[in-house]
Amino acid sequence: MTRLTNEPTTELSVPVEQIARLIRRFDRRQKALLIQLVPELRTIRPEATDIPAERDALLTYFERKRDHWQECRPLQGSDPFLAGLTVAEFFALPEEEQARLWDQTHAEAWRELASREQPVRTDALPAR
Amino acid sequence: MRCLLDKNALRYAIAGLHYGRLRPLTLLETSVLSCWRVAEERGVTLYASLAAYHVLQRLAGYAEVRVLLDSTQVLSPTRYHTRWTRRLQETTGLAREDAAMIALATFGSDPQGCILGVHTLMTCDQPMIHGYLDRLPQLQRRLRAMAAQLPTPFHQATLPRLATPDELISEWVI
Repeated sequence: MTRLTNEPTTELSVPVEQIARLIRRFDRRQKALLIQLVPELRTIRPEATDIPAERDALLTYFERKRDHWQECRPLQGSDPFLAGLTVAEFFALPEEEQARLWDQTHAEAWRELASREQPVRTDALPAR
Repeated sequence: MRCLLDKNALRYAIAGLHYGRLRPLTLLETSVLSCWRVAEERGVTLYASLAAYHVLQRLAGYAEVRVLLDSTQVLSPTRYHTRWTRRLQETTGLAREDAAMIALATFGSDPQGCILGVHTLMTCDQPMIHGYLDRLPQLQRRLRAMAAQLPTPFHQATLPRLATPDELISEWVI
């Protein structure tokens, strides 16, 4: 998962925060070169970026569901998430590292739950 | 129709819900969220493994995770899960955790013990899909031989279909 699409759509195969993490390591000369290579960076106002209608509808669908859970609050970047990392720190990691930590956490959960065995009814519905 | 969500599909869903309005969604985030929505609209029951459910419970104070927990049922290992995991791993050479996930799709049940297995396992993991498909005939033979010796309802255990979110959307929308 390392390719960026060249299409004018907004779908990427790499989350932008991972690219941002890389850019933050650039020195001033490299950042200046980046602006030369992508001059529209100078003109974009983040608040003016549009969300395509299809994606907006998808997000709205889930936001309506989320709004039912008023006792829960939406994730914030500084919230603790997994493996001692905050939400922002976790999702800024490269995909492979996120997957490794996520797998590790699940492997620990499997080990903790290894002795659990769910009883099944004799008339249980098979997946046929 | 019952569909088990792979753990990484759950991760992409959380990231998509959190970052959806902050940055462009990735292809995988879009696929997983779209598939989740189509599943709900088509009446497909979604499941998370007991282990994933356990991990998500720790994050249940966050609304995005709560939505995910509310949309899924938990699928737990039953009596022959460990044995079938071992045979799956021997046959396919897949990692133990991948084999355990596929075995759960065959020998998993809900908290009421009313179901045995699911029809599909949604995963974005292509090596896992290919490792499974490459050995499918052998797996079918081994499961048939094993299940024939098992009591009801386990003798009716079947192999799941492994599919990406995009494949499932195409299938469910038609």
